[in-house]
Amino acid sequence: MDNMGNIEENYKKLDINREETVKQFDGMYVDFYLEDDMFEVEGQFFTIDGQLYIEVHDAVMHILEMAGKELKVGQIGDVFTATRPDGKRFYMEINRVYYLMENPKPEDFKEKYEKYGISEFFLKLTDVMVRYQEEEKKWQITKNKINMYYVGDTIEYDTIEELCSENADVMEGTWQAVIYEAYEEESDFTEWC
Amino acid sequence: MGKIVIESGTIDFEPVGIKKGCGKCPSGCRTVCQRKNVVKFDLVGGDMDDFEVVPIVHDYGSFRNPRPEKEEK
Repeated sequence: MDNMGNIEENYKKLDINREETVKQFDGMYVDFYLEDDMFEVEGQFFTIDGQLYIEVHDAVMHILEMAGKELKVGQIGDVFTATRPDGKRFYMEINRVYYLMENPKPEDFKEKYEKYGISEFFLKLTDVMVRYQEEEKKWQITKNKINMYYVGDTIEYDTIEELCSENADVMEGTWQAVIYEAYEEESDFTEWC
Repeated sequence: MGKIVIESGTIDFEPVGIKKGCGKCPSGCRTVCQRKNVVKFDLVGGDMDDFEVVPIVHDYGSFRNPRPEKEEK
């Protein structure tokens, strides 16, 4: 399989100039990269007169120093930009847009799916991912999904209640209910090795 | 019926992004700590007690509260 072709196919198109997108993203949380730096920045969208901005919440120190507190979001074709109030503009990659859930219960996962159609949930601190497979109506959990050196088992359950109770030791924390992710998750990571 | 393992994990290193090492780091990279584990810094207990991380956030201005424009000469 041509991996590069696969990456292109898996890249999700996003138009941040669409009125619906601006309305939907207003107040939501976002993880993104500036320039080609590998360190993720965390922030929250806000809008002024229908224009999207990001309030920067956290990043490693050199990125926080570079980003400042507020960034104006722009888009040229498929390329996103982030501009500081003093006019300095960066290339930006939006990685994930999400709601936050604190120590969620099974009903919180179900509510996010039923209300917003969200089927992907991510506990960033420990790289635990929960996905709802709509076609088979199954809930899956993968521990250490994103870690570069370790990919945990994916285990499937009939219900989210069962998943939560059998994995209670890794479920506590601040979860992301992901409505947008730049890339589709690869179902078979081992192909890349 | 309980659970089905549908994908097996691959371990080359011990995972480092679990609860320690990365701490509250927002980067999501997990590699700095990986390097740290490989190098194995010899820190003696108490060595870092006085160390404090002070984030530097420059004030580049604000879109919400823009500075008043200077009067043109």
